[in-house]
Amino acid sequence: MAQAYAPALEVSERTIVRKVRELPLPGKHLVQQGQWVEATTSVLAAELPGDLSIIRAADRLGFEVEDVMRGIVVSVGEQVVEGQELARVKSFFGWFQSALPSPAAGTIEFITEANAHIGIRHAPIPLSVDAYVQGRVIEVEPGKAVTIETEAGFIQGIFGVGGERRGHVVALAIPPDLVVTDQVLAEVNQPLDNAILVGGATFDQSGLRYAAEQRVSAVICGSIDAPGLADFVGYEIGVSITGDEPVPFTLIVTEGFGRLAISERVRSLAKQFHGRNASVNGATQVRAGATRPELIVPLEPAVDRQIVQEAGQGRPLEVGAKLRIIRVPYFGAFGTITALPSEPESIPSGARVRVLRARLESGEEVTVPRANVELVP
Amino acid sequence: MSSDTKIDPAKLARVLATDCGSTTTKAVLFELTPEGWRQTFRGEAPTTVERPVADVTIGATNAFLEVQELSGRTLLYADAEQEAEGSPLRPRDGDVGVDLYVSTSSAGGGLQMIVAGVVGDMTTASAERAALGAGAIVMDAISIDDGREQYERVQKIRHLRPDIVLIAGGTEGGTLDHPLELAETILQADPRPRFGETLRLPVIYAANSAAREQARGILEGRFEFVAEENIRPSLEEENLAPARDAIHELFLHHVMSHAPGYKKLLGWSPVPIIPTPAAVGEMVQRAAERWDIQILAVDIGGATTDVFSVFRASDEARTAVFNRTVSANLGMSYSVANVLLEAGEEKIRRWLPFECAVNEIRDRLRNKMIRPTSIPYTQEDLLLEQAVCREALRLAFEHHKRLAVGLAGAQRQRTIGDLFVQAKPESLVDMLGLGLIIGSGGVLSHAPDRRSSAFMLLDAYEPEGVTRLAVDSIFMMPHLGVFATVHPEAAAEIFIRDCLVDLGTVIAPVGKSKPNMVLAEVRLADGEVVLIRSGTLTRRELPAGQRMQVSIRPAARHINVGAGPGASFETELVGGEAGILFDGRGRPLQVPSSAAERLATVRGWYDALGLEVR
Repeated sequence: MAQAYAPALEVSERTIVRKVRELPLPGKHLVQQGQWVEATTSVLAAELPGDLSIIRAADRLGFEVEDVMRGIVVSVGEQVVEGQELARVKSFFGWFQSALPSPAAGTIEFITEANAHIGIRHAPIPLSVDAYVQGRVIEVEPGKAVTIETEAGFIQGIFGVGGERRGHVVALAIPPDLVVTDQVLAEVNQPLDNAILVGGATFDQSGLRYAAEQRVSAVICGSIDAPGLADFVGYEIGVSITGDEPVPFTLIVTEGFGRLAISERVRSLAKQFHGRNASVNGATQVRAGATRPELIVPLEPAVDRQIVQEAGQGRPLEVGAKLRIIRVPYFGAFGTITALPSEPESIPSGARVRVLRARLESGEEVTVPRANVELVP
Repeated sequence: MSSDTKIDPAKLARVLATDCGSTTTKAVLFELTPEGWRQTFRGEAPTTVERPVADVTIGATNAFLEVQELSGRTLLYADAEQEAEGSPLRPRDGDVGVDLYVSTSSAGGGLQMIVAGVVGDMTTASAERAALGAGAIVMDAISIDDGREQYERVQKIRHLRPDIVLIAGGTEGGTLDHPLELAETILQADPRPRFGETLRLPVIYAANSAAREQARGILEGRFEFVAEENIRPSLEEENLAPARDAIHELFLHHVMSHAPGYKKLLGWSPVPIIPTPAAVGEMVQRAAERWDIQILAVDIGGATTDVFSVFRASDEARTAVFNRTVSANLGMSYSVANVLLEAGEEKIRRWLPFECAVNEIRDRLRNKMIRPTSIPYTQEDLLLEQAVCREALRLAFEHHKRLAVGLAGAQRQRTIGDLFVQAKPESLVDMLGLGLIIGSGGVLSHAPDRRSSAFMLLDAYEPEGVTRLAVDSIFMMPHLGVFATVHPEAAAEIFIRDCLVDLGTVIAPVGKSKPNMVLAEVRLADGEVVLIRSGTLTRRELPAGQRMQVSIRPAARHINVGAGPGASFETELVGGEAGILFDGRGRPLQVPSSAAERLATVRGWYDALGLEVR
């Protein structure tokens, strides 16, 4: 491979963010290319097939299947209304009659002779997809997807739970390694309703509970420990695919699991974005085409386009680049690359791997596997 | 499985093969050299099936380019004006180009299926075996008797995005209601296919044929309805082949052709692209047949663990039965925290030769989950991952044992009487008769010290009797499996010479014992006599490439080392980096529960393997 790229989480003061909004099934687009949209604007719509009710006609009427089949008065494809007669069966030489009313309105989808089951498809369920971020529509795939582009402050976390939400950024004026408790939050001198709180190493149980009571939109902090996450979500997460958790607000950690201070870069950007409206999503999928949780803070377009970098551009490993180590024993440490030996070297685990040398902020010189670092801006 | 396309193996001298995996596309070059068929070069690149590069051929070409660069040969079309740019250059002209390109695929998470049957242990199990044998991941298995309410089944399936649904249930002449109820369940849930918004999800109906047309009436409006022979025509007969063939056919022509870039990839290869696990299964079955042994093979990845086995049934013919299972959420990175959840912290900690707090284990493994490409730097971190590996292998094997039961594999019969006599189907897994365990996946194939790979396989599988241990050097079995459909001899040659790396052989007597009791005496060809004592694990060198004749004599009538209780026998041991392992620790393997005793015991095992714990 000619060029090695290290994975890196994006933390940008100003970048171009593009979001593809897709429908799960064919539908229609509600916006046009070039149109300006707000985060709440509906950009796509579709109709999900309605529920299917299966009526076990023979069981309901208490007759043999053959008798019921002879008495069915509707046919496949027919529209029925609630209460409309689906079948009528006569017994005892016609002395008694039993009728089967439809329990729901819809379309008859099937009638099965073998068991006299009748399937009624309910009316379609409307589905709409919003823009999620404020910005301009730059591409429309008719009936399928639209792409929104925005110039924005952009912060990616390493892991999150909870889906898309919107709110205003509240940068907590606290040390980066502080554990955020209910008392810390009680001292914040502004309403927290709909806030996206940014700061602290982690939130303890009291802090998380307080944030939920105040109806915040999201919390972004350095880390969370495994028991804390299990308490928050209500169960243990085993696989790194998240975003649908039934949580009161979206939670994003920027560093990882345990107790790790939030990075200085995230902290200073949060201060800069304090009070601005933003979109946030905790969805994480750590597989090919990885999805990381994110905070997007739309900004007024810059006059000078040169200063705007596109999000998601890989950076090469090179001497002088700043990095963070993502594995013990130097987990969380920041440093600068001082050398990139080309030959694999032995590491304490006994493996021979490609490494780099770095000077940490503490002044310590270390050698670590290239796989165990991520570049930071 | 065999290739539909007529290719003359005698005319092949250079074959390019890829496995388009979930994360990485791995390309290898197979060449006919003066020493015979060899795997000569290898390259890899990230798989490209998702935005922003949603075209599998981009990743494949990047992997080809690495092989091309390393080999210094021209293997690809280079004309930028041509659409064929970056594709394998065929036909070969002297040293330029390749004779054949073949591929397997598990990109995008592999083939994903929902199966349905009437009774969990019977038709649903048959449907599951058909799907797994075809290389699928079973996302959900529905049974009329699965204890769930109808709405619960519908709710669960509604959110799944399978590639194919398989319906079994109802013997010929049996129930009509249940297979139709299953069809109704699928219709009610209305799962949508993973690829192609306009694609109609294929549903294979392999249930009672008398209900087929009515099931068609229920499903045909919304699904691609494919009717197949009944998977369980009678209680005593299982008929998996037609359903498996239909799955492969649909995978190739229906599912893959909608996956990003696959139409182009399919055009590059005259040989059908098959799911990665199906190709591995092909190779395992061929090896078992060739060497006439029972084999257990495992591939432990980042997200999933696949287990393959060939064991002989207990019928008179001792029919070889192939089984494959996949534990979709047991893996070493993306799913590592799930191993922790399923096994529990204590089960993982028991393998560590050092103290580690439970919460430290939980946080470290979750950090691995969210940064899956990071690698252990310290020995402690490495040993923690290897402890997780033991548990993932053990759990996946437990899962495998539940499915590897009578009636699996090719069509065979047993008497109706057997069904009533046995409360549960008889397990096929015969650890005393198991001849070879093959491990693959980064944690096993790329362990810094191969002795630790042997150690992991030993602890996880607890082999009994005499068992050879090996690893797949670079996870080449998928490539060889698909190549074997064209040129089985060449694939077998490469399998032995370049794919399998022998770790050594373990001798593990089983039977009740007292502490420090002599379980068996092993007389080696060089005159050394080793006494295997209960509770001990010892080792002696036997380098890779060497074999040694031994005579094994159980020390008591109830002790079994593979030939039967108390029976002595002679056999040949295969060497490897771990040499010969004499495992008298007993089965099931017990690790002391007190911390101090556990640490001393586990450290002792590391010492025995010659693995220094720093």
